[in-house]
Amino acid sequence: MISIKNLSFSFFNSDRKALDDISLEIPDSQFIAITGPSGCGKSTLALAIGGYIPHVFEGRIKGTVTIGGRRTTDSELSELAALVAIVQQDPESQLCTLNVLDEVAFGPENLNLSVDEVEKRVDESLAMVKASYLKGRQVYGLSGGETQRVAIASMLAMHPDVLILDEPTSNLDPTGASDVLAAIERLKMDSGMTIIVIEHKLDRLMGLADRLVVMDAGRIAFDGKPAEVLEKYHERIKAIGIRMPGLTCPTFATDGGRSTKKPLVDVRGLRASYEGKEVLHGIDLKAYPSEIVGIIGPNGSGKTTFLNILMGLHRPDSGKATVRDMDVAKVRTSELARRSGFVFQNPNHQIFEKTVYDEAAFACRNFGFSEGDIQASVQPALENYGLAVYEKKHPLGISFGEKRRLNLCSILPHGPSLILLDEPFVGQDYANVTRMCAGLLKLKSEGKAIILVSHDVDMVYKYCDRVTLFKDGRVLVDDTPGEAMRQIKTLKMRDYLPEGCQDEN
Amino acid sequence: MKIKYEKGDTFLHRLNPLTRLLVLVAYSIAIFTFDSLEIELICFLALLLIMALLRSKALLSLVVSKYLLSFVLLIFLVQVIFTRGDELIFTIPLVLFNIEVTTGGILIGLIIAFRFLTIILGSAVFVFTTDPNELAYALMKAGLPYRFGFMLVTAIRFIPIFESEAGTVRNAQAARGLEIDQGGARGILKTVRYTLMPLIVSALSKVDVLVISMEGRAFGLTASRSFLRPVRFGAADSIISLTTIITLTLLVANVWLGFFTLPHLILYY
Repeated sequence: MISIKNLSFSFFNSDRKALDDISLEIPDSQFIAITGPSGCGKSTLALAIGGYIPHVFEGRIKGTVTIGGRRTTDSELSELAALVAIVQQDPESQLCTLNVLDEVAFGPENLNLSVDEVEKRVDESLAMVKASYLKGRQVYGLSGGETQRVAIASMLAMHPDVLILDEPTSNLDPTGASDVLAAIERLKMDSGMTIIVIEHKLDRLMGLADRLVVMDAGRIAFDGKPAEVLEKYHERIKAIGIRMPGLTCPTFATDGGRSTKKPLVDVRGLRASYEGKEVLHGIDLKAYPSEIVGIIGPNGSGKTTFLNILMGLHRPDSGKATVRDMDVAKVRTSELARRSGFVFQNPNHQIFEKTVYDEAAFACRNFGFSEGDIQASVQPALENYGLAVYEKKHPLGISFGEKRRLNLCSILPHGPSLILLDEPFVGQDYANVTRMCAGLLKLKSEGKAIILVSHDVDMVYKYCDRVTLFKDGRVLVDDTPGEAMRQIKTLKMRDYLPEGCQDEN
Repeated sequence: MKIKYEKGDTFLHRLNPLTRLLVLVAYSIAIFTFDSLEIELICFLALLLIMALLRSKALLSLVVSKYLLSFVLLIFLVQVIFTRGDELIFTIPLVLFNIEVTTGGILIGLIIAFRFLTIILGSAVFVFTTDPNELAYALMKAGLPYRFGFMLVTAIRFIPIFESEAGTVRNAQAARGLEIDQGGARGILKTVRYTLMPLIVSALSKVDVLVISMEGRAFGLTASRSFLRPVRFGAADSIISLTTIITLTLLVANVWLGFFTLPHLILYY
């Protein structure tokens, strides 16, 4: 049993209370879902339960956390390790060895168990997440869903009483997310563990969770049975900025009202290879001005390679791709870059300058715009996205959602007519995703063509004019959201249908 | 021409990684204890034979790569220019001094060049047959404190991730019109600022995740830990290691004690 009494915490470099007077009793074997907007303290709470606060992350702490009669502050972290296990969001960075076997054995080996016992635990843990077939594999080369299941198995091998999963699916493609959720579901059935899942997206969890805790600004806002909480506080939970589960299937536009103008992007029979292997086997795709094209599909289906080709970052083998009548295979990247903008997935990989203003002006300066022109185009862009107040701040000092808006802001001032986005929504809460989508709709109304790749299937159906399904380097579906949904249903790829529409026939 | 570990099931692959490491280190020391072109040529041919038996295109392309050849040629030329002995073959007159090419100079040039050549090829064979991860685990089992061993393991683990991230960062630069491939001091400065910084930020963000993941699995709980991987130190390992150690000891001891006479070139005049 976990008992948290009047817990408050602030990180040592901040005055803000990350946790503000939290009291929570979690009985054994409960399955509890915790949700809340970014910065509400849900991950901090997980770290406090695991003892990483205050053992690893220092700050001012008040109140107590007791697990099975043991106070986290009085126990060594390595003792707590056998009680509480945390699976984190980023599947790649939490694995520390090179082989699946070494990884799952890592914990039991640290406990200095006998070789037989280690072996037994490895086999058991892998079987629990249906990953026994991965035992002999290298970590490098696993899919996201497989990596995350290995991470879960490596934690199960510690035989913890409490398993905490901190946004375990948000970095995964829908197929991987589905596999991981199925694994969590089996854990609930087969093990007596207390399971705490922290999630932005509640849909699949609602049927599983015994209890739902909604957090906001470091406090527990609501706590109770999931269905009751969602019904009783519906409006207030919505106001906090939480994505409500889609219970009914919305209707989507089916009219194929594509403009008769010339397409901005015209791709025909495009083939491309990556490290000597063909990954795109003849892609045909068009994008028109004032249109948002959403690309969905499993990892490894060639979506990112496709975007890279449109930006001139990767050369196609054959076929033709034109952006504003420029053949991407013949024009220099810098020439294409003047007319297109590309937002990459991880903000850390695309922030180069020391102030928010310089960051937004980066592309313009590379293209040799005059400072006067830069000022005239950067300033309104920053204002548009609510970043003007941070103008002189370091871009790494702003929040994740703000960084994502800055990334979008940084590709606008030089006036591109095509905007490419790779996984723009990952790691953002619903409020920030909605805000970003509003930005995209505005860009659309200004006549820009937008192509976005996303695992967030719901958002793609909701905001895109075309839904395009990539699989194994081919376009299987390319149509209006309503029509695409019908076709994907017949393909039986239910992970790629919007929430609430998966169970109908 | 990039040499990296490749899975295989040859005799060399099956040896304990520490045996291979021992042989490589011992050879690299032993080859300096005498000057014999004949023995070096035998070693060179033996290495070529091993490489042929391993059937690796990468290894064979190393032998004929221009980097290796120019490195070896450079060593040879430097020795020829600066070492003199025995008969003078010809003289190249220069303004301040003359370069005298002698038979002794050529011989010592060949000996030193082949020394480096065989050490490089031997190292390539080692890298080709040794899984760095397996080496790290073998070292830990042989007594290296596991904290240091896992430093090596996690480093190897994250190299491919950082490689792919570096690719993304360069793409992100190109997509915003930055052309970084210009040479010179400014180019280097730009590369450092715009490529290294994002990578460091990304690496630091991974540290917290890794700490939680490793500490959360009781890393460092006790002074020693168990290992699931079996030790593979067979008869062949014992024989090879023992022979290597005895040979090396004899050769090194001989340098001071002079049990037997090995070919030595004395080139002073």
